[in-house]
Amino acid sequence: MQWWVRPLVRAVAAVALPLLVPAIIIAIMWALPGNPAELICPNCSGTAELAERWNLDQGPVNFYTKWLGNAFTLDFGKSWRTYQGMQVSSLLWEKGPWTAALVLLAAIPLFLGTVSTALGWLPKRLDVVWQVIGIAPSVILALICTAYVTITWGAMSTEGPIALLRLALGALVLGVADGALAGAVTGTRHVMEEEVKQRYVGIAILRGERVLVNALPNVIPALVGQFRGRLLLILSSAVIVEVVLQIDGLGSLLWSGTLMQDFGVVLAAVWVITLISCALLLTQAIIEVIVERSIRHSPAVPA
Amino acid sequence: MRRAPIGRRIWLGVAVVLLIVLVVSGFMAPDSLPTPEYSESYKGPLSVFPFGNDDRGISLLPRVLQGAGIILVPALVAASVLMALSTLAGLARSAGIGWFDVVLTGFTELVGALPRLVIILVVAVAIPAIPAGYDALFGSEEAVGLLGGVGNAVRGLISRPSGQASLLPIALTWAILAAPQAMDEAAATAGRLGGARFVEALRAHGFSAIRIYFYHIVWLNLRSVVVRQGAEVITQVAFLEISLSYLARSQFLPAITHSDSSYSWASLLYDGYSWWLTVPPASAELTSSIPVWGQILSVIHYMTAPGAHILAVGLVLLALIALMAHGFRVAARGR
Repeated sequence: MQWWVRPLVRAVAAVALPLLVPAIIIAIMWALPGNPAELICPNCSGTAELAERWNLDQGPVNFYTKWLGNAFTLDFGKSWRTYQGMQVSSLLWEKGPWTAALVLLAAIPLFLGTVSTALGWLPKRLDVVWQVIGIAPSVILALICTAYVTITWGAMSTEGPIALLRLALGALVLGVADGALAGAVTGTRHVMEEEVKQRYVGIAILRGERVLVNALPNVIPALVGQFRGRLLLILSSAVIVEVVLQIDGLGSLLWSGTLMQDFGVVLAAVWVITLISCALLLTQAIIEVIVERSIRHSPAVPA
Repeated sequence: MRRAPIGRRIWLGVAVVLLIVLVVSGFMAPDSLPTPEYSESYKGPLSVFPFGNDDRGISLLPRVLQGAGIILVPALVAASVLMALSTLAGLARSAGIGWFDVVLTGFTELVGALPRLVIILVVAVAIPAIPAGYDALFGSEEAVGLLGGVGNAVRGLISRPSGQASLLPIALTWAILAAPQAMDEAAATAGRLGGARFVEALRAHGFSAIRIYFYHIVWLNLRSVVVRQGAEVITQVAFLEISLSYLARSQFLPAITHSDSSYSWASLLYDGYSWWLTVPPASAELTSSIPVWGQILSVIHYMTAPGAHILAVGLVLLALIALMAHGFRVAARGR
């Protein structure tokens, strides 16, 4: 397979997914028993008016094109049931920063784990420790953290410094639970060990060059790919951690929207999370191309 | 053939025993719980064998069995689907099918970029729509006719879904979302053998195609990867069920993975956690009198309080699932 196929497929997927995901959700809306307008107000009379007002009266294709057109201008309409009548875009603006902070903080241990393993700073014998910690599922670690906060400060303390503490604990949980940190460390180690076995590295050592300088550029695309996968896992698991630790983020919003069948919220939240995933995918594709081109055009090392 | 080392055989034994216990428990799960007896509340495992009673005086045993029943079939089906896809990917790479790599890359990138839990939530919303989808595909003779023999086979194998809360569609979705990574790994393992050249070399030795593909490639080389992936999916589906059920229960909402008449293992965690929050802390005199041991005494105080066994049973069940997966992983490790 040519080197450019993977980045090309990634770029195509990054463009296709934001179009595909809302299409699937809207298809589900129409496949659910009853009229989609009945989801907004179950057991209500006069759903025809509701359907007209919410643009549900002209079929799924019309709804999809109009919703997508508005979504690109960041207009997601109003919440159907969870926060009835509120603009979904303002809900996203309000809750998005909490999730962003949670994911970025959780990514710190993963980033440090990846970098220190790639540089050979993290001893291999510690891998067992990360693996043992990583066995715990996020829901259990989140429960332990929330029990600590609840016993110490009470269940209703969700504001001020306690909110920040909940955020920090949530990030810690996401960073280590479900094998996140263990995967980052062992995944990086595996990639590095496989690369160091390559013939060109052996020749580089014979020429008196450093292993890392030779191997690192070649493993960067693989490491970036792994890191993207783990970020996506964190973003996904944030739903559980936010609900258990009562962090008022996108995950909590999505969870409430799902249970209430609030498609106004579900569509927007899923679309935004998909966009983030696509941005990561595109970044990986660009890095792959840059690394590939720079390796191909690098000047020959003087003998 | 050389026998596997003793450590690996022990792990295999542990994993198989735990799997058998899970299967038997799942099939023994009662449809409903016995009547509450509040005078028997919080009795420990020493008074009521084997797990003690809950806050309503109901034995934890039927709740444990029901939890196993919820997880069992969906987890095994998800693991089978993932292992089948993974094996196919490995075989396709060994067969040297040129277009396969591009298709696999496309599938990997498209599905792999989806945030799993978010998609799971969407599927949970869509469960009531599944019967309509089934009807559209297999409901009429014309629709089945369009799909040919496959349509008839599927209709014969799978009865019309009820559209009620169920773990099976969620577990299947999880398997498909986990498939790209698993397929990629299996294909890479087969690729490291030499791909089509490996098959050619074995053919030159006179081996039949079935022996090459199913013994040399699948059994000797792909087994460790595929079994590990299957074991991981069983654990993930179990943990996913517990997480989703816990979230729903903590907000007093109907579960999305099972009917309201049955109890997930998450209910043990929820009840145990709720109990934990109500236990009065150990006296300050006790915990502060001996500074180093104060925290340990506090933990012992919680562990010995009546009702601690509910949380302990929930946590031990999770640990056993993780242990089973680890056992299979070690037992199937490549030599």
